[in-house]
Amino acid sequence: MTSAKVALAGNPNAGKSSIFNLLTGLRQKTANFPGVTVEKKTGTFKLGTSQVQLVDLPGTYSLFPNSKDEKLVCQVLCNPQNESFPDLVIYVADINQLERHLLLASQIIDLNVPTIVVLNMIDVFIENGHKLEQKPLADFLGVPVIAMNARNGEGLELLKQQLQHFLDEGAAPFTRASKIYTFTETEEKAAALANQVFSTDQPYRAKLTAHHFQWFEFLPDDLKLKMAAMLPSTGFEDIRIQILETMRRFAIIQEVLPAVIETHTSREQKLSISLDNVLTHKIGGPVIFFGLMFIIFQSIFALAEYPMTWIEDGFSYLGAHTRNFLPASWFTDLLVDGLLAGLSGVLVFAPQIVILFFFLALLEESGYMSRVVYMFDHIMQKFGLNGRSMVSLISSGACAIPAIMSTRTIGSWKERIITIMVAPLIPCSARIPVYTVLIALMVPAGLHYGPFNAQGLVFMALYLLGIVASLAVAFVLKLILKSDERSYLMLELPAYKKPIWSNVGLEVWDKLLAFVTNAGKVIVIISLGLWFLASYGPGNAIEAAASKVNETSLQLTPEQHQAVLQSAQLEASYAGIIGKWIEPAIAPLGFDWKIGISLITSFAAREVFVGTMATIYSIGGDAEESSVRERMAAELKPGTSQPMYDTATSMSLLIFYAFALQCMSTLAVTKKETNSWKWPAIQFVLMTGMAYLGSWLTYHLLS
Amino acid sequence: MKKTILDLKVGQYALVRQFADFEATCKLLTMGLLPNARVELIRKAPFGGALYIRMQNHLIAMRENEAASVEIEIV
Repeated sequence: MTSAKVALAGNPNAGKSSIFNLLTGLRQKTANFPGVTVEKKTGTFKLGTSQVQLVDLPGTYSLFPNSKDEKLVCQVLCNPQNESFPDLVIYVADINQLERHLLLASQIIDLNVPTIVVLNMIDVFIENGHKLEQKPLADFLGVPVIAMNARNGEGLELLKQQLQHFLDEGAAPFTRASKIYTFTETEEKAAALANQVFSTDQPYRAKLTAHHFQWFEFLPDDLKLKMAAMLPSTGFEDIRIQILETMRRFAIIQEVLPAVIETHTSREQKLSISLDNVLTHKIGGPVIFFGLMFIIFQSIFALAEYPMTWIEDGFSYLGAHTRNFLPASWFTDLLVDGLLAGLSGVLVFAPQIVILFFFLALLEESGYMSRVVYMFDHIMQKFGLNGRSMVSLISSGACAIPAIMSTRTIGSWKERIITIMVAPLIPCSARIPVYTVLIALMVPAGLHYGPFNAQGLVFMALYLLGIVASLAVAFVLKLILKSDERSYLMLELPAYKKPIWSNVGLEVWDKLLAFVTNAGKVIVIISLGLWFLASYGPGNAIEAAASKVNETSLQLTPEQHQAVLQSAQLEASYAGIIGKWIEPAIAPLGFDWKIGISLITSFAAREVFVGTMATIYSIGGDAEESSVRERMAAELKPGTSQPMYDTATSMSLLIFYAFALQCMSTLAVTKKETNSWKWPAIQFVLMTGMAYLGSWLTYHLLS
Repeated sequence: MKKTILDLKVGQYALVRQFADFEATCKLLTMGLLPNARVELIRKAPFGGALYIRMQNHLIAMRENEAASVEIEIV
């Protein structure tokens, strides 16, 4: 054989991803967080003169699936026509959980798919003083068995030798001669019927088809109807027989195991239980959790500050030099004001993302995240969420995009959708610059209530508002969304482990790349569009506005002149026209057309608000926040001597930014994760509605 | 009235006897909760609702309604 398709299969937490990384060197992640490998990942590697294509199948407990991922695995392995159907399965089992992990192995072997069984985490097993006899296990399974330690690559050579052996010799040494599990009479009848209807000649595949034909997508509907009509005559009851088979398989495995392993309660487990005495303690557990979160978010803002400044400075340096180097033309403007500015807006968040995901990967790798899920599951359920939603909502404090991506681990559709819908309401890092500018307009610096800084209090109140709003919306969605799918916690609490640093590194790199490419594409396109709208107007409107300024403002300094000129040009541009056009809609909120432009431009991303305000208030796009603030503070309501940004308007704007889904990338990610435009549309309408109503109420109560 | 995992007190051991809920059973079985398996209730979650359970050689968490579907014999 010169090429082969090989699939990695096994239970969650067996260490498949580590072995995938070892074999292919491609990016993948391993963590203690159950169900993390939900996507199909592929990679290739060379073995001698052959090319091996490796697929990492999602973690699966058995071929009686309970989740979407497990159904996928089942459909791949039960359909030889499936493009992912493997020539060989590398079955990865955690030797420390051998009994449980052999269930799926025995099912795959009974499908007559050539298999190599890898007993992973042999290091922990030996350290705990357990003993392994490989031969009785290999005899029982009828396929080669290899002990391995994916942490340091021990056993990798043996695995490669077996793969080479498979490529040279073919399937025979990797296939069991007879079935491990023998059918009862009813099962025989059902399998025979499945064979007759669907021509499924392999006996165990035929039996699984009898269980699952209703949802197997690859079977034709007319045959399904035929099968459904004939199956009852065999006395085959799906669930009852699933339970029976599972229990009988375990009975067979339990009979063999004493000859294979010798175990006693491990030190590792005792240690985990003692650690959990503290980490999941009734009071101590939540206190430690919130303490950890506090430290993580503090360090995100503290550590990211410098690299963020470097990135911004780097881009403005690059922009200035590009302008000097290239001739003044529309193309140079597009490159500098459109593309470079857009890229800078994306990349400036990279440091925060890297730091956040470094910490999250550490928490996952160590096994702590499963404890968080366990501790908060009950509270989350009251809001229609799952304990697993905690992880996503925490990530959302930095950015909703990776948070929404991390909901894949939530098994129940309803709980996953609700988590996706409310994640953007948790205040993300992009709201910080907007809040900073607006709070400063409303609350004088240095004002204190008792020992507390008044600006800080408003800031905190806005964060709380976001958290309360997300829980409230989740609660409402829980009442509205209908689903008869049952939700489970049923969570493995893996033993605490020292993180594998290369896995942490790969995970961070993977998330950074996903952010830069996915979010980056959208933001760059939007900023190019905005640049065009703000730079051009219908006919010669911009030139006309410019010459009007040139005629009327003779006694200004060159800087002032430039400022007034820019402002007049913006008003005449397409963006200005759009701002004027939506003014009637936002006037009830206390906003004018200039704020209108900012609302539109910051739809790309919230932080664009500050830059747009800077341009509109004619101080050039690179202004310091303080000078934006000064200009905004000096702005008067048209025809009055009242400040434009009084408490009512500022507060109304703050509320708007707290709720509104001013983030293209979030919508793009929601579309990708839910695979439909329906959910991003609902998300957008819902959050914009909340923002509008909230702002309207705020403005009318305060003015 | 048959006892279930939900009736366990912290620190008590029991042997799994029967499953009362078909749909949950598949999930429980694949987590290794088999008939005759020995389970110990280690603790309850800080805000209630979930149980922390030790089995022969691994730890699992389950909701109270999941625990209520597993009939046991306390030893």
